Amino acid sequence: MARYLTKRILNMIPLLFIVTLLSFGIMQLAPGGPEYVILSAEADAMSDPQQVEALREKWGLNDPVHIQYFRWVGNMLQGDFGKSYYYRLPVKEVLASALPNTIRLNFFALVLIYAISIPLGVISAVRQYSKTDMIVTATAFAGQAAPSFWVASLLIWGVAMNSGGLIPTNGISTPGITFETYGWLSVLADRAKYMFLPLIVIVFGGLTGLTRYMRSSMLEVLREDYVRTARAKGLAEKVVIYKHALRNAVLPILAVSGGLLSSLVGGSVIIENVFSWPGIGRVAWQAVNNRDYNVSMAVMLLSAVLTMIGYLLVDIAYVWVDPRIKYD
Amino acid sequence: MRISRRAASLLSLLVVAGLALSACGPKQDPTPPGNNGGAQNEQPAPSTGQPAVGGNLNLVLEKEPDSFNSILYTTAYGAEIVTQLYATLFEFNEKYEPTPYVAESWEMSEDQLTLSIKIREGIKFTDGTDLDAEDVAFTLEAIMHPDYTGARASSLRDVESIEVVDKHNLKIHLKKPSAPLLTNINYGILSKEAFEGYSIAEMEKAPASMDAPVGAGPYKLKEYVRGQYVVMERNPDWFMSEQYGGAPFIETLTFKIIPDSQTALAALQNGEIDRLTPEASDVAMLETQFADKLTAYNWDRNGFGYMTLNNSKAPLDDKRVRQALTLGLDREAIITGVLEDRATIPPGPIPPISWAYDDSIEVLERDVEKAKQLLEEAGFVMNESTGIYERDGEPLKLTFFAGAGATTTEAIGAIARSSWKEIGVDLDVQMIDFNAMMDNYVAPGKFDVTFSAFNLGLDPDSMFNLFHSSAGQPDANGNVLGFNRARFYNDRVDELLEKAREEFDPEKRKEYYSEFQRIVVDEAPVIMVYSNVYTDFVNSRVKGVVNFPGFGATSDYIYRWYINEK
Repeated sequence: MARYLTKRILNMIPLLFIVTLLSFGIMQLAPGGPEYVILSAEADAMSDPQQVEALREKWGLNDPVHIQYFRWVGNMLQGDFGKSYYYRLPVKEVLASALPNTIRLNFFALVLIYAISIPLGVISAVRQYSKTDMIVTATAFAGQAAPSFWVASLLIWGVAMNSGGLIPTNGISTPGITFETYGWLSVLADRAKYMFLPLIVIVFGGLTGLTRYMRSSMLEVLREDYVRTARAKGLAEKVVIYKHALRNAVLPILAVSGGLLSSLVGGSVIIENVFSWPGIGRVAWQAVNNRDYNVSMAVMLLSAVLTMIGYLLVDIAYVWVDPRIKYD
Repeated sequence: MRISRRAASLLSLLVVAGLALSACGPKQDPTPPGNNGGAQNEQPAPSTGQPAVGGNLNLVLEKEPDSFNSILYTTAYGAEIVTQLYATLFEFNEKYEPTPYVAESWEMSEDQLTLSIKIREGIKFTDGTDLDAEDVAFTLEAIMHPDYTGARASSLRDVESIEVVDKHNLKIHLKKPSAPLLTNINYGILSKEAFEGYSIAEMEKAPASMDAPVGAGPYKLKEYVRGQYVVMERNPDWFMSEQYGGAPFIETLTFKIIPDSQTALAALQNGEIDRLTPEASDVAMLETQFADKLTAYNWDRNGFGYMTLNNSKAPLDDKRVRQALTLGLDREAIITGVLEDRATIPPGPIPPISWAYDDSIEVLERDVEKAKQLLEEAGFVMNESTGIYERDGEPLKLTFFAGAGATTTEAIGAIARSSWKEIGVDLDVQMIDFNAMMDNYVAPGKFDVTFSAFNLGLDPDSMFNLFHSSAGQPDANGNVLGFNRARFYNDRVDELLEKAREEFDPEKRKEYYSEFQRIVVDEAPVIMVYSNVYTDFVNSRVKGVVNFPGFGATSDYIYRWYINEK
């Protein structure tokens, strides 16, 4: 196991290298540069090629591309992700303020998605082709098919605007309501009401995949001999399904959960924009628009690293869930 | 700010330019609020009640503000906050004339090379320290410093040095006379003390640049939560308070960051924000369905959407072809079809709301016959089989580049294509990413026609950036980075713009600008397409809103707004 893990981790190094090349290359290919965003504050400055040059020089944007790349990677290895051109702050600070917000929303969303889709998948598998199965399948597909911005708009106009002020259209908290000034219950209630709509959108859109996986995997397991044996032994149907079948059916779900970690912090550009949720998705989107190279490269890298770690964790989790699997 | 949002959907960079210029901008002349309710036609009837302190105003920012430092911020979102935080040397009234603010009085020397400014006595920063001539000099010298990291160095290019005479007097020495000087030096005054221990290059790292700004404006920073909101609270010791009858009146301002325009619209209707400039297509709905809840303020944009013609490339190097295109473009159709009639055709480069506008210039009506005649004079012959003019066997085919993604721009491309077809010009419309377009086609001059927008500052000197040949000179790589992308080089225009920049007599300046406007209209280096009529909606619970010409219900006057009444 230890040897396997070492090998896996060592394998990640060349992969990481490719990821840094890609994130760097993509930003280099994008037309325009951060200097225009900064200098466009003054038409005069834009008309003065000297000023543009001076700024590019100061930021090292005139150095040969490979030098810029190695400087960036070198600094990163020392934990320095560079400075945001737009905010005039270290990239770490920019990300650190957005990350908790994204995690907060996505944590609850993922918990809900798993908590809902696994039972739903089981139910529709056990009652295959029943009315319940039809309804679950239809809902799941509707969630997949409906674009999230559309669902979000529907909720804003249909729910928030008719809630008499109970559910806000956007935002994450009411200014002034903090643990210092209010009791914890009112703070939680405040945060919850802001989270309500975005949570519905994410969960609704995220149910499909897992429900369908769960359904088909459960159907497969139910046809296995050991399930038949369990039934033949005279075990109650509930025990057969939840004790014997479920544990085996969950295995494939684990395989598709490798992206979990990265989606936890990845954030969603659309949902965070529509609901004014100040998360990583929005920061990344604005960074791309502002050609804020360092911020967007850091976000790309972050989600790549987390995806890799996610899949590593899945591999480890296999051993724990399925004793038959051994790595040597 | 509101200008920016709209323009930002059309283009990404330019906009910020005009905006930021305006943002340091206009303040009201000293008349007490309440009895000045009818500054403009759209103003609602003045309230009978007297303004009282209190209440909270909710405003929207489309993006995160970048900096709260009055000389480092570069975005319209930073400008919204900076405007409230800092006091500037001058205010500007509705005619864009300077009035006293931090500067109590000022005088230009005979040779127009020294501006003496008397600083008002007894001004305190929000941290309790004095604002005096040293702070003013510090602010301006920081911009002129070689290590300065912001984008505003060129606004002080005519300043030679700054001399602090005593605590309340300073002199600004100029390299050459500069008429737009007062708007160019009008930055929010920073506290020298607050930046002690920080070099100019490191200025952005000082707490006073972001977390703990120190200004002498009507509001101070209470709380800023990155990504969420900025809360500002009334500065009870504001030095202009007495003059404005106890202003500012609104206790707190909450700026919420809402990036999505549809969400912002919902928030306005739901009462979660108090002011918004909606898309033209939403104005009628808001006016009819929310008449009891929202008050509309109409205003003319101090800027325009325009087509840049490439004056350095055949066939557009011929004035007659440019004139023909101007006469052939169906601008009426653009305004009714695309902008819901909420725009006007600009008669010339300087909008009618400016004092420098020459009212003898009239909007050119569309004239297909005359356009064709001009093309024939330029040596083009109609090819009857294609319906397109030709010269030396080459059909008159032009390429139009515009930023993709904005419905307005896309529709303009379609209308331009069909209306120029009628005058025998074939237009190839290319919609691509705005930045890619600028880099690959517009800056290197590989285009015939392109579309963008421009916002003007308080001073008509903005025209310099658009039409002076120095703003259109290609750099070493052949790219034009200035705003004169039309590559329009006219000696007389250069001369007039330079003279107007150095002339202090308003009458003479106006004459220079009049001749300039007539030349630009005749030479047609660009086609002015529309100037928007915007509508700001403000929640009717807010009173005393000032509708400033060219800027609408701008944040600059929030100190005069009020919610509570005595």
